[in-house]
Amino acid sequence: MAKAAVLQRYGEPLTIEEVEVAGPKRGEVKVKLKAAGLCHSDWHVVEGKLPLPLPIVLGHEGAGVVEEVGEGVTNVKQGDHVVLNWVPSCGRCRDCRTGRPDLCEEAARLTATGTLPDGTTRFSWQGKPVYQFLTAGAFSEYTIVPEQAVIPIRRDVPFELAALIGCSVMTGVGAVIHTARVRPGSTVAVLGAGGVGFNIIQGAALAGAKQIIAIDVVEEKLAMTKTFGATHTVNAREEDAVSAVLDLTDGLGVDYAFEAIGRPETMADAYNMTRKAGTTVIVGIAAPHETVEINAFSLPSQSKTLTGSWLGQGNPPVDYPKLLDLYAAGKLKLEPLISAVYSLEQINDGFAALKSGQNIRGLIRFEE
Amino acid sequence: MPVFQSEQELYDVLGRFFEKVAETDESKELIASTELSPGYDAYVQYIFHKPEAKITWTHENGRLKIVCGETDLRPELIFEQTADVGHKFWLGKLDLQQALARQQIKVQGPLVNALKVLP
Ligand SMILES: [Zn+2]
Ligand SMILES: [Zn+2]
Repeated sequence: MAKAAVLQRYGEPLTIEEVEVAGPKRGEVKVKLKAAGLCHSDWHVVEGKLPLPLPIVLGHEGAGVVEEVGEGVTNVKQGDHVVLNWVPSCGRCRDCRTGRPDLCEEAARLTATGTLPDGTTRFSWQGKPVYQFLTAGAFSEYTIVPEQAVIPIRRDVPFELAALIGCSVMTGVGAVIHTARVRPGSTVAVLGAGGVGFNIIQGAALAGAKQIIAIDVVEEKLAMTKTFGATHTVNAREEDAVSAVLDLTDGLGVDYAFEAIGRPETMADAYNMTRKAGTTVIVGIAAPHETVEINAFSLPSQSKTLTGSWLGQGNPPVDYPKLLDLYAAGKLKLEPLISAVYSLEQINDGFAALKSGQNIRGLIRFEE
Repeated sequence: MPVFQSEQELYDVLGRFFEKVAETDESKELIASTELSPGYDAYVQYIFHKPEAKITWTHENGRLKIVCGETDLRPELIFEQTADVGHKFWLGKLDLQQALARQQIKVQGPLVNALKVLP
C-alpha cells in the first residue's frame, strides 16, 4: 500500500488515496520516494491538455531510495539513492541507436499509454488499475518503474535538490548545452522564468554567454533571474518582448532564443527575436492540437534554425551524475529553485501556485 | 513604458502627423495616380494595439482624408502593429522587410500597393 495523489477526472483536484502497489517484476525497481517536483507537464494533464488514461498517478521529477529490485536488475541495488528518469530509453530502437535516447520510440509509447513496458502498471485502487505518468508516478510514497527509469546518484546531495535534476535542470541546462550548443560570448534570450527557464539561464551562464535576457511577466521572478546569471530583464506585460530584445542587441536579435512557456505566441516571439542564422529552441510544451504562425518569407531569407528540445536532449545515465557533480562543485544553483515545499496532502495548493506562476519550483516532501 | 498612453494620445500625435502628410504634394500625386480596386473605398488602415486604435486613409474631393477611430470604410490594405512599433516605423527607425519577417508588422492586402503609401 502507498499513499498517492490520484487524478480521477480532468479539471478536478487530485485526491489522496491508499493505492495497492504490487511488487517489482523482472527488470523493475521499487522506489520509496523522498521528494518530487511539481512540473507544468503534470499540470497539463490535470487540465486535460495531454490526454492520458485515468485514473493516473502524476509526478515525474522525483528522487528516492531503492526499496526492492526485481529479477535481473543490475544497475541499482536496495538502498541506492536514485533520481527518476522519465525518458527510460530502450537502447534498441533507431533513435537510441543513433545517439538520441531522448527521442526513444519505446519511451514515447510509454508516455502515451501511462504504463510500464508490459502494458500494465503495478498500481491499483478499488480493484482497478491506476496508470502512472511518464512511467514515473512520482506523487506516491512508492512507485514501480523499469530499471532504465532509475539513475543511481551520489549520496551527499539532499533528495529535494537531486529530484530537480530529473526534469527542470536536465531540460533547461540540456537545451543550452546539448541542443543549442551555446558558444562563449553569444547573446541569449529566455522566455519564461519558471523551473526550466531558470535552468536555461544558468546553463547559458555556464556556457559563457555574454548577454542573457530573461523575459517574464512576474517582476519578483525577473529580479531573481539575475542571481542565476541574467544580465537583462524584460517584463513582457509592460513592453513588447521582441522590440525590447532588438533594442538590447543593436537591432540584430539574439544568437539563441529559448521558449520555456509552451504557448504558440511566445514560440513565435522567440523565433522573431532570433538573429539571422541564429537558433531558436522550443522547450515549452504546448497542447498537441496547437500551431505556431511564423513569417514564411523569413524561413529562407533569415536562415534561422528552429528546433525543439525534449528533456534537454539528455542522456540521463551520463548526464544526471554530471549535473550533480556540477552542483557539488558550486557551479550549479539548486537551492534557490525551490520556492515552496508541500506535503503530499497539500498537492492541490502546490498546483494552484504553479498555475498562478508564483513558484519557480514547488516540491512535495514525503513524510519519513 | 509604451509611447502612447491612450488611444486619444495616439490620434493626437500620429493622426496629426498623417494630416500633415495629406497636405504634401506626394499625397496629392498618390490620390491622382492610385485607383482603388472594386469593392474598396479606402487606401490603407493602420490597426494599432497597446493602446487599441485605428487610423484609416481614404479620399474626399481628390484629397487624402485621415479618419481616426472605428469606421465602416473598406481598406484595400491593412497594417497591424503595436503602437510602439508604429511610432518607430514612422520615425524611420524600422526596416519594413525586417519588421515583416519578425512579425512586428502584419500586412493584409497587396504588398505592392503598400510601397506607394509608405515613406
Ligand atoms: Zn517536467
Ligand atoms: Zn529506444
